[in-house]
Amino acid sequence: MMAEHHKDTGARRRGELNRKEGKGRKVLSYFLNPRADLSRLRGTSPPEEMPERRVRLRHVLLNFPLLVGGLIVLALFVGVLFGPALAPENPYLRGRRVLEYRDGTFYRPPFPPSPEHSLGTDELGRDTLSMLLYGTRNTLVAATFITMVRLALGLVLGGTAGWFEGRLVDQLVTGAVQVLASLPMLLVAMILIFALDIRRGLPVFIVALCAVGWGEIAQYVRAEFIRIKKEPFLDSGRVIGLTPLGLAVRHVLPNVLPALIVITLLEMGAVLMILGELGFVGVYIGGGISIQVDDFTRRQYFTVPEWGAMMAGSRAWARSRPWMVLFPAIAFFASVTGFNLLGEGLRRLIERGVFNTAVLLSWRVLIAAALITGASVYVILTLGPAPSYRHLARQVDEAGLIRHLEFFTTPELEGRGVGSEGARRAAEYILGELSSYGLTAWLQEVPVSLARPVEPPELALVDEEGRVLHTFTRLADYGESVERHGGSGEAEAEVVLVLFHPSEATRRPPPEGDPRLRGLDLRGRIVMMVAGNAPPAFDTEALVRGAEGVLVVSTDVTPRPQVLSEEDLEQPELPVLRITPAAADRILEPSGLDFDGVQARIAALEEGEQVWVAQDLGARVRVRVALAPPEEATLHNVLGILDGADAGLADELVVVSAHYDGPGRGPDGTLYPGANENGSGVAVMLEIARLWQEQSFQPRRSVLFAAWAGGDLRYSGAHAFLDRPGVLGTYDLSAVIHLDRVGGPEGEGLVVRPVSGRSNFLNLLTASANRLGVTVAQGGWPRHPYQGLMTGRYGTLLVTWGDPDPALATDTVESIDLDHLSQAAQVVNLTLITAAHEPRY
Amino acid sequence: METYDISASSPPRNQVLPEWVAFVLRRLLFIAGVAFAIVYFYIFGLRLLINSATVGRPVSAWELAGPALEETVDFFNDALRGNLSYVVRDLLVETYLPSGRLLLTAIGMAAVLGVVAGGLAAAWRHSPLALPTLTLTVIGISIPSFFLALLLQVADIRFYQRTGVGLFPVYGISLRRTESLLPQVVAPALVLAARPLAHITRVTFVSLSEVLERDFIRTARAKGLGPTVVFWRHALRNAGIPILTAVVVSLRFGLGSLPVVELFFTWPGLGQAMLEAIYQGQVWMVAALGLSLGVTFLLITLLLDLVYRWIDPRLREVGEGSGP
Repeated sequence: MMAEHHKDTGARRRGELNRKEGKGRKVLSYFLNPRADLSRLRGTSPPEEMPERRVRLRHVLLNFPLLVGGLIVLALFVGVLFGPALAPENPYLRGRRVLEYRDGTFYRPPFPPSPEHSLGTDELGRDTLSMLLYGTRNTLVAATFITMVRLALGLVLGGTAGWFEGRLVDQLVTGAVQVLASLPMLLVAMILIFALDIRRGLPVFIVALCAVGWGEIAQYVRAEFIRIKKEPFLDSGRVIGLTPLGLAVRHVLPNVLPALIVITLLEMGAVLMILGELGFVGVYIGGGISIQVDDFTRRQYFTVPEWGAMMAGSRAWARSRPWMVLFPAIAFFASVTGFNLLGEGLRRLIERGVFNTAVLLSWRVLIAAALITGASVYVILTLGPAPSYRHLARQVDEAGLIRHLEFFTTPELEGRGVGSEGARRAAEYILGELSSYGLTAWLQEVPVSLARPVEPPELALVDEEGRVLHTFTRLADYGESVERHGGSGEAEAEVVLVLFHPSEATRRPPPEGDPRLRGLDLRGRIVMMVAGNAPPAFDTEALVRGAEGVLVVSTDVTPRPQVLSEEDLEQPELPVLRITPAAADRILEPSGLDFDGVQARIAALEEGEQVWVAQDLGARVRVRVALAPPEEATLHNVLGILDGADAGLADELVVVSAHYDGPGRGPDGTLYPGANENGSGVAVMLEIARLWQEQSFQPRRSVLFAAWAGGDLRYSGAHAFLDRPGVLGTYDLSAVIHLDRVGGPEGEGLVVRPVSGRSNFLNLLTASANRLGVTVAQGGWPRHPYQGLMTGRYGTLLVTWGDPDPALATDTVESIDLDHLSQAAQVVNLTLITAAHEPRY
Repeated sequence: METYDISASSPPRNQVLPEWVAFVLRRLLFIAGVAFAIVYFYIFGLRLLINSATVGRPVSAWELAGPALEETVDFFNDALRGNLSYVVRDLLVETYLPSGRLLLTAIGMAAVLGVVAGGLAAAWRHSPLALPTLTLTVIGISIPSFFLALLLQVADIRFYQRTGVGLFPVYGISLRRTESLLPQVVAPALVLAARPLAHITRVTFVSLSEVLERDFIRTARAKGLGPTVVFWRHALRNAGIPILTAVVVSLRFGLGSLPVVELFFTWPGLGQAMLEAIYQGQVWMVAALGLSLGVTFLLITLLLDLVYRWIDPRLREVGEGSGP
């Protein structure tokens, strides 16, 4: 007996506690129930006996450690399940508070306990109570996992060692236990955690704390196995033919079980204790993020709310700001005490035989264990920032989206035509909304000069007699342009297709005339060419060579009314129209060509003497453009900036951009409401800003909400914003997302076009869409000049829903697919939240 | 497996050396082996740590295992010839003593107070206070060192604010600055002693209560021996082994919390130095400090094993001891 003690400290320690209990019971029963002494006579003549249930109840109720410990553990369990729901704010999303103004004085965090923060805040101004409540889940789930793995490891290793006592396995296990015992557990766990890379989070802690902590349990289990192995009832089991494994599981394990339950509870306490100590020396789950405080100081702040992390750096604050450290320390003390008391109380119960642990080996308990494990796994999965982000992202309010769109498309705004009164009112609306969401918002004035048609331009396919064969639609098929000589004019003529050798097309001709074009006779004809295929200033050449009009085939046929330089609207003028490839196909039809064929021909052109090819198409078109003289207009960009909460990341800017104005009312009186075209992006942007304020989400990076004016113009509000030194210069552009046509009924999912930069942002958006169950595809074309601007380091994206053609007159609120719009808003929101909050993605 | 070989635990008795000398030699050999394992662990761990902190593509763990073994051999080569870097040597010497002093004060305090308190409680084990005492010890074991340190500090500051008298220095201790060590050691030693105290009290109480109920105690009393003699000579000696084991376990507690307490009170000891060295990635420093900690612990357990054998003659007959 003594030899066994001597060998085995763990067993010894627990064994003697067990033995003592006989006394404790006697004392207790003497003082509380003197009659209990008669119980030894029970065998012969039982006196009036209390019902067994009442005895049991009495044992439980008089068991102070059991009651108090049980209550604490129950409270902790409630905290694990409902802690986040009870917390006043979400520490995953809430950024820091910088200053607080009360009673005429400014206060800097850490704020002391006050009615607003009942337990004070930390040095970033995060609410201590909330972090404690969120931390309950993180800390206790971590502790439970570590304990369970320790237990399993100790049981298997200790059991094996005990069963094969004296063999090699036993010696190895015993040796390992002794080596472990001679190492300071805290430091060794710390080295292991750093060695396995602390940034991997919880799994590293489980591995490290189990590797250093299985020794005591193994030692105890081994001693018990050695003791029980020699019991006679095992021989009977052997006689009936049980295998060694069967014997161990069916006969030895049930005998160890009661003690194991107690040990598990005590182990929980021990694990919590070491988690606290690790936190105190600065080792906590995730490792936190490092923030540059000033030129020389870098400080580590935790990101995952967890009690241990809250202890970190406590030494520095313990004297002046005790509340910062005291509350997490109390949490640790209370929970360790709770588990230890519960273990102690349970042990007393078990020893009195009130509580039969054999019950625990039934299938019902197995199911319960499975349920609890499942619940823990669920909690693990919903643990961490990602679920919080997703929850926030999902709260996009469809009614809010519609409200914005309905305002934008009211008839009084006249479709928010570029530079119109309606656009100005829309800008003021956006400004008001952004300001009311707590952003620093302002208007930026952009002066522009516009030459707009006084009457509807015309482009039609005609026959020899001038009868109209086909009329094209402005905006859908073509748009007028005032670049250089482009302007008013009328023509009806044959169309000639002019193609250039690709390598020659970009070469700038000498000002006195292009010798390469010698022999190109365009008299009395209308030139059709492909955008980007003609030498610069070809319109002048065409004019000189007698052309009556120019048709440029391009994917972007938005009218170009903006007079950018003195070269624009240069006299003499001729009508210049940009037409879509589809419209070009129509004109090319008589000659048996199509646009794809034309492009193939360009590609196939041989390098030779002649750089151009002209071909009569046998089609006649009528072109008419009548422009008003240029008028000055003022556009208004609306910009709102939300400052980043993180000192290290606030210099990085995430931009969400969309434009809010459009064609307005056409020269023929058609109203283009532009609900999807120009309204949906801004609506999503506004809704995101509203949601962030409502949920008090504070991004770590700064976020710029930009509603551009003149979205259709060559030199839009966005260009003007970028050209003006100011805001952007002080920031590092992190990521840019352009929103355009995100609520259309067409299309199966989001279409994303990576415009520039790295692929991180694209991957983030794809992942966010997957997380929300929205399909996402790559593709689409920029339809507005500003969408190619701005290069975010993590990427610049153009997001649309589907990639629809402009719907124009029919683009009303009624045609918006609310479901699509809301899904797009959720995906964009989640992407932005993550991009604005995660240090790396 | 069916036959139990008990010869392993009672070796043949034809040895030249006295039995206890052989025992000590065996144990020393074991300690040497463990020392190698400890150093290997620290070096391997620190190499991994540095590796995982590098910005570039880290090497896989297995590629570091071999070099770490070579480094361990180098380490012992240098250490045994006294060739360790003077920085390591100096720091080791400078930190070892303060830590030892602190730990010894704490554990000594805990042991004396714990045995006395546990003995008193056991003597009055039939009083209604016995069970609450036991519960109290559970709570005592549950106090995290950082919490107690915090409480002490806050209490001391409050007391100072109230009366103008500082009970003990709570912060910024330096052994070089002041002459008297006693006031400085009070706060950290109290913190370090709390859990051991509770543990030793509990074990003493439990094992003494059990022994005091044994028949031989009643026999001794029946012989006419006084209660004091019975208590000291018969009861305490029989309860001695569990109590000593509890002291060893307390030492482990203490070693575990040592870095925390030293960090909190800026006590210039081994634990804090090791923390610092780990954060700085000083491989050999950590190995040297860790080795000294581990070997000290192992030697103390060896010493206690010898004391066990002195207390309990039965252990000598068995002649085998793998230590607590």
